[in-house]
Amino acid sequence: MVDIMEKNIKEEIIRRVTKRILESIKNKKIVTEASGFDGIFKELKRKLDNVKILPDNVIDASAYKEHEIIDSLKSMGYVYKKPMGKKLHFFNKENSISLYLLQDSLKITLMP
Amino acid sequence: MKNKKKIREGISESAISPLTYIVFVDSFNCIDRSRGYLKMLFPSETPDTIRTWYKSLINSPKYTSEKEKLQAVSSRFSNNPSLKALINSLQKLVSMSYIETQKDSHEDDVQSMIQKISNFVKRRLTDQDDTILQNFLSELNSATEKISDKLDDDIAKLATPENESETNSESKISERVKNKLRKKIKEIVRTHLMTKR
Repeated sequence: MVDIMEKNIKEEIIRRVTKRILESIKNKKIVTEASGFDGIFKELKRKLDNVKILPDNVIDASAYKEHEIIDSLKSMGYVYKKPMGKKLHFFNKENSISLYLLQDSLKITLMP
Repeated sequence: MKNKKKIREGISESAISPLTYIVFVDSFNCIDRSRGYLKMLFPSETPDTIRTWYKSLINSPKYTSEKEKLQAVSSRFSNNPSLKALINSLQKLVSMSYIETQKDSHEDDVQSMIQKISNFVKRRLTDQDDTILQNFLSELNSATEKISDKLDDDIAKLATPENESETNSESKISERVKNKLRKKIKEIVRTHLMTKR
């Protein structure tokens, strides 16, 4: 009896998680790190020509001033949310992507 | 007259007054004559007038070297939808007329709205921002004093005498409501008389 219940619960969880993932893909809310980051980099490069892509999905924007980077991120739809340690958290409501700008080194990452 | 400088008094209560946080995040926009939060708060003031409130900051010897940091703070906070909504609410509150006898509670409402905005800003400042704020505290406080004086004056102008407001509200009651009330009173009197019999 307990085994059957456990099996049913597991199946229900799998069903719900699968449904949610499929819905997210449908709504384009899941962005793979590679494709999403590449897109962000290309868009940012259109505004700030001298940004460089570094390993581990890091954009180096140190060739520009902090306000220039912020203005560009804002024109791309990112809104400043809050500081997270030494990183500034920007969030885009349209694609649900978060970006983090390191205030010291002026590098942008996807990781909080 | 005693209550006139309520907003101004709020400044001296703490080292950094709540209003200073708004003054700080909007500083570069105001100096640059760009449309910022103070322009939203004082729509009738020209960008040049608002800029003069920051005279002490502009004339500070530290200003030139720290200008870009102030610019970064202002650009980070400018056009923030939540902050815009809060400033809009404050503007509506400040420009709202009130009954003279309720001046204290009206000023408290304004003060608590300013406090709410300052908490919003405070939570979003980094350690680096705090350092810049401390560096320019006296210059920013000087701007804050001018702005709070202006707020106090604006609020004082909108006080309505109690009698006037009573007649205004009375005139707003429609004839239909008056008739309904008359009917109701008659009904009550009739029932009262019947039960007495």
